[in-house]
Amino acid sequence: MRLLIKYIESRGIGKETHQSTYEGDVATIGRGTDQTIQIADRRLPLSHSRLTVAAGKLSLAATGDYRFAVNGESSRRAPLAVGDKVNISGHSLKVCEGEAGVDYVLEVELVAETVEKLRDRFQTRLRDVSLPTRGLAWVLFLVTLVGTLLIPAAGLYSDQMATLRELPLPDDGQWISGELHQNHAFLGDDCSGCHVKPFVATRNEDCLACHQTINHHFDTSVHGVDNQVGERCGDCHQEHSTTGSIIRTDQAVCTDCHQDLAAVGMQSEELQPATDFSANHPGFKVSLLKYGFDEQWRTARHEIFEDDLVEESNLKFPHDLHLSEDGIDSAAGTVRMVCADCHVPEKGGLQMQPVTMQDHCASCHQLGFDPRSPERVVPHGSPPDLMRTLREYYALQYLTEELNKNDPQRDQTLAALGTEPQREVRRPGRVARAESITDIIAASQMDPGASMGVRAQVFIEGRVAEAAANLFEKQTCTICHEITAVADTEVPWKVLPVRLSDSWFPKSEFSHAGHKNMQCESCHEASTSAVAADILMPRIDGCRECHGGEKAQGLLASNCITCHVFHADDQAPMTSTMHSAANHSTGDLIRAAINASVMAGSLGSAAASPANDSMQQSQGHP
Amino acid sequence: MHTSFLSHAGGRYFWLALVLIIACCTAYLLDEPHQAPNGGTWLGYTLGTMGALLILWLLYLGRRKRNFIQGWGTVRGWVSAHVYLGGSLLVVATLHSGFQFGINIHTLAYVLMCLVIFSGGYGVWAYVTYPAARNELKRSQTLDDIFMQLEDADGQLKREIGSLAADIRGVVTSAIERTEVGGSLWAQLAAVDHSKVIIDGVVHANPDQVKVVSWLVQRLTIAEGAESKKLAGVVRDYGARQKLLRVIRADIRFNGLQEVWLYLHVPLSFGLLAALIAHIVSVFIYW
Repeated sequence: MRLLIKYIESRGIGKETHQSTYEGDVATIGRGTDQTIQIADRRLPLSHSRLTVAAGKLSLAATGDYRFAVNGESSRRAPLAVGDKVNISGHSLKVCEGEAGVDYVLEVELVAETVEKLRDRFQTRLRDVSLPTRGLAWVLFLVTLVGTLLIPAAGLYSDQMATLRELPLPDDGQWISGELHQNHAFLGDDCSGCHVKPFVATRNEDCLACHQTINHHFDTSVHGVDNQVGERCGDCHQEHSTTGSIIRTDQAVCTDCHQDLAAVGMQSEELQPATDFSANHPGFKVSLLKYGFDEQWRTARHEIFEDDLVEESNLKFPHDLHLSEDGIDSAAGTVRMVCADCHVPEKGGLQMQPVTMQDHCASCHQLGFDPRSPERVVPHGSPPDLMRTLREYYALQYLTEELNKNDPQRDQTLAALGTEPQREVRRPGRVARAESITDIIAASQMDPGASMGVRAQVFIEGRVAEAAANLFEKQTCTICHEITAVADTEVPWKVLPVRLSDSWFPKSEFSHAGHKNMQCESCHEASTSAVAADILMPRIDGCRECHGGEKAQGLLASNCITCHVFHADDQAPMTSTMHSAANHSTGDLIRAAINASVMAGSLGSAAASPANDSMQQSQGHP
Repeated sequence: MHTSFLSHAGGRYFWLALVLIIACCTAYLLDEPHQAPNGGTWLGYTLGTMGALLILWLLYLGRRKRNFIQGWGTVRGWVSAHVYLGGSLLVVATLHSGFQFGINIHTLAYVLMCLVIFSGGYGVWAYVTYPAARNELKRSQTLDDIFMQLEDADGQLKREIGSLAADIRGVVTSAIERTEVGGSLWAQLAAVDHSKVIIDGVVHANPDQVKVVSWLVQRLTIAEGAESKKLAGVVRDYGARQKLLRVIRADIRFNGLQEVWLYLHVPLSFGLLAALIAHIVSVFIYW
């Protein structure tokens, strides 16, 4: 097959032709440059169809799904004859009679009309929709910056933050990085209470403006300021934390120095190295009271494992007897006592309420002195008062019994006065203890003719001496107290003052409230203690049965501040050296209000607290 | 050979990002900040500074990719680093926060950052998935090519119906003229088809050209002789046109899904930049 291919292209108003020849069996049609008949139109595939001749007949077959039209009829495969007009995507291909050695002439007319592209009628890409990306970016940037920074900052620098908070405008509340600790929650949304100067970290004086009684850790006049652990309150006390803790709890804050105090220039004879409660912590020391020859109480620290360690409270008290499982005699019969009958924690559990004669002993240890009047007792705590009570008692007895013993109206007169006549009481099998006044006077070999005043004095002093000797030396005082005879005409006995330790471990804070699920005996071996001198405080090994160090496994993880405090009670307040007057605004008002209420509360409670007759304070025995 | 931005330079930035993540996590686990982990510890400040610098650098990519003059590194390298280091930012910033969140500017900055990162992550997935799918769909042709084929098919159909009955001419012509592809953002993404056809003077919805094809098939049952044969050709060619429209619609949809994230990613990035500034400044105002 030989073909002459004539291309006719429209060029403006004219037409341009060019031609080529082909010899072969198959002529290809398509956009591709390798095609026999190239139609450079993007709508066509690279290879569109094939023109073949078989048995002298031309035929056209499209490749794939492509189609063409022969004389207006759509087709994929069609025979062609001279005069047929094939349309391929608007381009026409006319089959003409062969001439001058070619079998067929193909007139290919290429259309080059410029019509609107179909695609242009539609929005086929997101960019056609003209989304306001750039505008949205600017809006987001500016709205965020103005709303979250510029407006609150303007309020801050113009001192109009309160106005912003009242209006539905963005204020500095959105800057908070975490809720305030509950103890600070009352500060509300006034950030300036603590954040006084912009771009300056919260200063110590801003904290100390409220916390005026917070103390140093050690004597800063000797060791310098507390910056061994941090220069700012905020180094240990972190506000706005979601964990709820405002105190640095790790033990490194302590052990950084306490692992080797000498290395940080703070060597101490008393303080031994400590790094961890389980692994490295010195044994407990107790503070023991000692009554000196100068009649002063002094406290001395002792290792708890010293063998000869005794408590010198000057009290006689056998715990074992009181805690006996068989019970103990009391005015109301046999009772079984428990620890809590005498030892009750204070509210909060840190200290024990004082044990007092009045509240804890007197119900059994009644200070009676006359079996005929068992309800009459002498006062506790003051021997001169005791002697005075005895004298008054026996003077009255002399008056009521002796002077009117022959008056027939005596009993009626006494009854009218509300005074019962003395009963005769005696124990079965014994003679009556109470002798008649006449007998006593007879026994004193006194001149029967002595005056009534002399007779009364002999009677009263005789009975007082006997009752006092009984009380002090035999029946009552000496049960609990150390009594020594002294050459004193008024009170010829001395009771050594009693003082119980109110703080065995003053360097730690132990809460009984936190241990209320334990038995007292777990730590205090009281039921086998026969003398008050026994030290019933636990050793560190006892605590370690439950408590471990900071990273303890299987034990209660306990760090330094589980038992110890940083701001020591016995040190000077930080305010005295660190607080400087600052120019506060709103914060000042809040602080002033708090301080006023705190002061009012403390004064009120001090005035309202009753006089304490506890043993701890009863040093007043002569 | 074509190399994806994901495997640029042997995944150099993947390994860099991985090392960064592991280093940050290790530091976080080993750090004992003596307080609840937060942005204010020394590690918190370190992570925060790293995160802020990363954000600025990642934003710079938006400007760098417009540099057609060859600068330092290739655009593909920058995209690769942008993707991997951008992903690592999620870890850096989360550790910086110490997992403390609230209703405040700080968490707003974090949330915006997450939205930017997640939209970018979607973009990575889209750029890996859709181009290949679209290429397969269009058999390596461009959408313009398909539209030209559609134009061709339209012309062919118009020629074919020239000799057919008036009702057929009316229906097919109206269906061609009232064919709709693409459109609004939603129409492109959901491939909504608002095409219409007029049958007996009434405008009918013609999604996926189903209405017109079923009308033509019914019309074929009452056609006779030469008309029947020609009409069968029209039905066949209309089916081919329908296929082309499906390809076009699917490509528009895929292209939309491939690019739509950028319309969030970029504006959110600027919102993040503002929130980042507010976060840093406000923290130090109330230090």
